Amino acid sequence: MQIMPFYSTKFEKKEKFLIFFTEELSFIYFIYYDDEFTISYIDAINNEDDLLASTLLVKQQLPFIFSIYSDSNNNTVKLTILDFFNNDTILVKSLDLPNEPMLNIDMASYLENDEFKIIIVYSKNVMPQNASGLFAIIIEMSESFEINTTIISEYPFDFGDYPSVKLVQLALGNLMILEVCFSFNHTYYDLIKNFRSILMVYVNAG
Amino acid sequence: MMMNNNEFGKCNFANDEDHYALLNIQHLMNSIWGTYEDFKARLLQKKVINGCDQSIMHAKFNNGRKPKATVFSYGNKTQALIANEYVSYDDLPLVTRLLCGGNQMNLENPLNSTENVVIQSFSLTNSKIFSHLKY
Repeated sequence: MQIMPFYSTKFEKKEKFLIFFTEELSFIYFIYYDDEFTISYIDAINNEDDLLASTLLVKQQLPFIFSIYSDSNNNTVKLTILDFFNNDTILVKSLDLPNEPMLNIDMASYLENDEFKIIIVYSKNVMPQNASGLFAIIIEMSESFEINTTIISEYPFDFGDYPSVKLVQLALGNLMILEVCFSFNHTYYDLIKNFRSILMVYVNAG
Repeated sequence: MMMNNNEFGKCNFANDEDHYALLNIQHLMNSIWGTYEDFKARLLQKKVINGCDQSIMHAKFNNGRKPKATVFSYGNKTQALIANEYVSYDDLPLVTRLLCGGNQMNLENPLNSTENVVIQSFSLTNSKIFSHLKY
């Protein structure tokens, strides 16, 4: 069993926490416990599709789960939003991604000025250098979950793999994004093949 | 890696496809910090974000695998806590050692397994690149 805790939060009125886990990336487990870590609620969602990434957003002390699923039957990627307490799926939207396999994916969400902001970052191979590129999807939707803006990057904004993305509101009032990655395959042959490029960098720098 | 050293005269290389592989160094971990709006603008401009960006910070912070970040405020500072798998110096490819050097490690308590998790934290918003933001 792969346990991967990736969120915890505190509800102001109930003074309780919510955390959730994934098992083999096909389940989301919810554990709801009080300040003394007494578990009062546990539930799980099993989806026939493959869960790629998920994030939790609290609006007026109500938790919503934003998830990205891969539908292997028709080769699409779907965004779903779940009302946690009502166990009700609010939105299912297919994302019009290029028909290329993703390597890894992460997502983050934020509520600002009555608008949900979602950032999805994923990696895939980019030719011709067999490098791994990072691509992003930005979705902005109203408080009633009507999508206002969808931006799907056609070109990599960076190179690397295993993205980890966070959206945080700093004390100074600016919304910040953090993205962390590490780079992918690079062989000795690549080093030799790109020797001319390395040389050009040093020559120009000098 | 070439993009991370701001004292290097290499900004024009970032968008050159011939140099893409140079930006793809195995086990090199990077962080990107900036506002949501700046990040959104770069996507629309179809530009690679690099260390020469005027409003987004781009930096290498260590060698390792599978970083997972958590962000929190402590006092007036914003801290990023990163957990990642440790990669020993022996497991680093030649190109990574040549261009990026070895890993940070605690010699008094060496990690024996490449699967061990390393936790590191750093403060991010002290950089001059964020001085244009209104506090």
